[in-house]
Amino acid sequence: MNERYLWDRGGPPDEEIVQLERTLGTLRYCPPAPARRRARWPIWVAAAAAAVICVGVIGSILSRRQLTEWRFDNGRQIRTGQTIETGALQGAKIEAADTGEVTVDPASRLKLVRSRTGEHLFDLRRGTIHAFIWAPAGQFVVDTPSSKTVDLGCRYTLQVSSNGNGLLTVEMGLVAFERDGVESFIPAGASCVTRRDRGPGTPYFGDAAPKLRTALDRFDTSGDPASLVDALAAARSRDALSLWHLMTRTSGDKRAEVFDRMASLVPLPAQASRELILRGDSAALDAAWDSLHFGDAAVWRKWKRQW
Amino acid sequence: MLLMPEPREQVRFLVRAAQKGHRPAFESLYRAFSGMVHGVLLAHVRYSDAEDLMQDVFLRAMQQLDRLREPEAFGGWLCAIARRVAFDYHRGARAVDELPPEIPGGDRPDGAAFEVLDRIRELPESYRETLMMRLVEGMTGPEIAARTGLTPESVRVNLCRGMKLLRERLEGMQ
Repeated sequence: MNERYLWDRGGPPDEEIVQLERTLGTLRYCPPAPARRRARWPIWVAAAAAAVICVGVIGSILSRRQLTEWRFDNGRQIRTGQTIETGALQGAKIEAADTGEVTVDPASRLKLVRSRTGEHLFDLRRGTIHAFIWAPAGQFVVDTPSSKTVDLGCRYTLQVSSNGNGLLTVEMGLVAFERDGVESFIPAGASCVTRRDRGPGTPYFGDAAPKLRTALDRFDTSGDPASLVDALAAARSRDALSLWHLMTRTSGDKRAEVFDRMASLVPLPAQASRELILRGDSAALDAAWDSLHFGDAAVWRKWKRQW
Repeated sequence: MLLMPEPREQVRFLVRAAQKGHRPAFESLYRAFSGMVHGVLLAHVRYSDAEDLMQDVFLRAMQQLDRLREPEAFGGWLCAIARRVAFDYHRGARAVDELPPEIPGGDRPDGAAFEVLDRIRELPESYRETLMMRLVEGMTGPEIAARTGLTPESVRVNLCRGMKLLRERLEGMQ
């Protein structure tokens, strides 16, 4: 493959890419021709333009320095330090145009700790939130009693029970859980438990075998060696997600067992050699992760490096 | 082409003007970013739905434009709206299969193109949108980075890895 051609159409044309461009170019979007004399925008554009002006005026009247960019869906702005406590039957929805939106389920308690350009910190003490975040990775963070949840560009649901344990389920993108140097990275379709006494657990895909989930639960709570054997036996190639995390949480012979099982399920690049992984080489772990295609390791390397 | 290699200043100017209600400025933004939005939508919905949803995306953008405080972030912000519109569409969509290519009236210019489109949609999320913009919308890597706000490095990685996976899948089809 001619990567230069793929990047900017420079260098000699790559036959395969040229063929794909020809084939797929038939589906390209063609915007309507520009108006010559008078703007010929559809009615929806004119209506929206009027709405923009109205909302802009209202927004400027409401703006106050002590208020944040977060608002309820009725437009009311939220202040730093304000707690949103929903009743047993009614939830709430908040949104910040440059950051994302958060739906707070009934019986939840969410506090806006801090909000400024590039940093939005919430604290979920109990209940459930559904976050849809479009801010750059690492800017939207939710503290819970057992872990810090860092958005890496995604849509997810975070639940915190009354005992402080939590469950994160990711629908789009990637989310990181972190506490005291223990990190879990959860891609779309996966979930991860976090416990008040132990922090982030091992992520697993929603369609993983019950045996694997049970084994991971035992491993996360007790470190039982037999649970590791069970987890390795129950893992499919897609469960390399869980195995990669187990590699970062084991050492010596145990890590070797995990590596061997993972290498038997998915092809690992040369940079992620057995020797380097057993040494805990961070670049090798990055390379192993990248080969799984759940997201580029560089995304969170920018945010924080812990392993 | 409205947006040349250094588009930031122009985008900032156009967004500021559009926020003040200047319709031609929004029209220029629409023209400059429509390919990107269409690429994002194609990564998530069927071709036949993507064109309809274009209107929803730009309408929503126009209604919320005054809340965008950093005009330079317009591209990434618009991508997020497009993803949201696609997500909302799936949440409310009926389970209808796309018309097969052999049925007339299916609005399918090329059956082979739809086969490839389906293979791209099977790829990991991070590669889908970038490949749609590059291969369908004809944008180059630098243009994708400039429009979306992603770093050139990320776009390059997504293109190379996505293309490698796409090739494997296309080989599997033959």
